[in-house]
Amino acid sequence: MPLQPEDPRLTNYVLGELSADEMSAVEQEADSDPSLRQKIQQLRSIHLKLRENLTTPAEKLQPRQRENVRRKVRATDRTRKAISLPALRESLQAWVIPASAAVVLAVTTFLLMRMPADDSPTSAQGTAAPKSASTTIAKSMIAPSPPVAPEPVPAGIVQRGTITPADYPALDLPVQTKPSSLEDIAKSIRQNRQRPPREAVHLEEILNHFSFRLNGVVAIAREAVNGWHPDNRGNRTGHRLATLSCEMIACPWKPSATLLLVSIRGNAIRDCSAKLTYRPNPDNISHYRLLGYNPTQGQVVGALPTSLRANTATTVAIEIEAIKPGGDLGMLDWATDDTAAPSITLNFRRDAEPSDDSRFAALVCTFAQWLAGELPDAIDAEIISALARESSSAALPPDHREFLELIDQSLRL
Amino acid sequence: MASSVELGKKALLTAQATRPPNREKFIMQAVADFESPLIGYAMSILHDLDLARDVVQDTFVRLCQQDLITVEDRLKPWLFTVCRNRSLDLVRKDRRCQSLEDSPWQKVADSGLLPDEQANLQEQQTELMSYLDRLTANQREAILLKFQHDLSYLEIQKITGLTSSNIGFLIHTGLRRLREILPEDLRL
Repeated sequence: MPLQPEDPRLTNYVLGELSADEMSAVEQEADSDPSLRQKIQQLRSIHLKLRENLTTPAEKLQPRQRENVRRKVRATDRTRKAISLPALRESLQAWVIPASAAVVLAVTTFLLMRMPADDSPTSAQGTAAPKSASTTIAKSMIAPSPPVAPEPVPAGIVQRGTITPADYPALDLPVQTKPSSLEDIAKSIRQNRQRPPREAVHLEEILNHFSFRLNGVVAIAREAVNGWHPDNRGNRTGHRLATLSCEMIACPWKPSATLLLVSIRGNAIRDCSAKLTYRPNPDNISHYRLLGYNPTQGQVVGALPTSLRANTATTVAIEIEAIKPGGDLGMLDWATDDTAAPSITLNFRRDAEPSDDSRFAALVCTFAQWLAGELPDAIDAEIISALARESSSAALPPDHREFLELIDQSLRL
Repeated sequence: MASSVELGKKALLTAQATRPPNREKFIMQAVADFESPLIGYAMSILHDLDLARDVVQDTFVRLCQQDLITVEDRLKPWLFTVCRNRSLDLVRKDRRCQSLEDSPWQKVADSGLLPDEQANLQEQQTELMSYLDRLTANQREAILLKFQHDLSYLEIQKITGLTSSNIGFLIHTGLRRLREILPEDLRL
């Protein structure tokens, strides 16, 4: 993939953290692209200044603390000598090494006898060094599900899975979810000490267990004003019917993609109907995928429900693969009570700092896919731990904190 | 069979040969080399100099309890890892973190600068730290470990448990954010 000036690999290059092959690839690209060369110079200067400014503090231990350490060394030295190290070494040499060699031989023979003809992931992990217990367990428990290619379908039928703007220039989005299944999942993890069955994991229900304040563009749909009255002069707007908000964030499990989060919220007084459609920019989007909403692959027959209940909100997430990730990703069209509401144009700025809520929503989406065994090559326990640590802070709302604890528990299963 | 035994004996003999001749000397040298960087690191998590010193003392006490053969070739990341875990334990216990008002960055390294130059550098560093506090905890930690403590991605990975690619991404996005929020006079 060609390098862009904002590619993290440039930072890694300047910090000397790329392999020799990657370094030469960056250099080759930089030679032919003055903007990359300029960016590298800029990064070098930033790194130098930062090193100058971030000098090590001069604080030292107090003399009494230093003395405590010295006393501790002497105390442990005395204990170690009391065990008589040379005698211990002799006894070790006498029987541990031959015994270890025998064990290694026995295990190797056993593995060779048991080795299957095909390379199943479980057997491969069994012989590998234990990188991380949770990762190994997680990977061995999830068998990769075969991808189902989308098929052309008649208009009006909702398509799931990865689709292209050429085949699907518009995707109707759900404005409702079923009640949250997170409690059942939590019960399975906490009480039964096991991961829930894959079919019990519904990303959209877990995501909508939380409410999000997205920090992107917001549009409001208002009730049409009926009739005209002199008292209403200058007041051309009616009551708020619904609010649509969205935010885009770099996709955690696929760095080249963007995760679009869309939240539609009803008003406080009455139900209304709402229709929400994502229209990808065909010049920029190569493919996209609505997350969750079983079946996650294939087709769903029948129109989506359009009732938006009072005082409720629904959040949906779409993974978008764009040719130019920082550009125009398309539009969100919507209507309430059959009246068109202001559309939202989706322009993703990669340098925009994501809100805490969007980070958390991205974590929820990643975790739910991991639990459901989706994208096993892209999502593992390590990425979930990293995202969870990134979302963690002292000021976390209680339900978010509880969710992080649940993640922690599930990674230890 | 014979070759396995030979290899095992050789490894043991090598380990014996590389055993530090004097534990006290080795550990007190480690104290001299790493006390300041570790206090700085602990302060970036705890924001309290006294607590940071206690954590670092505890880190070296734990080093005393270790078999030095197992840590001597990865001493720096080992010390940072223990220091980090102890600091985070305290944060979890006391919830004392993320204070933006009183910066603990009172002093900078003894650089041989004139007093006014040192004061200027100190002021810049204090200000820079207050902006670093506005990054996410992970971004700040990755940047400090890389630029202040000069650790490699691999060493940072061992300390924080983050993947190398994640560390690169955190540093990249953290620096970009820093450029955006820093005022003109501190602009990197």
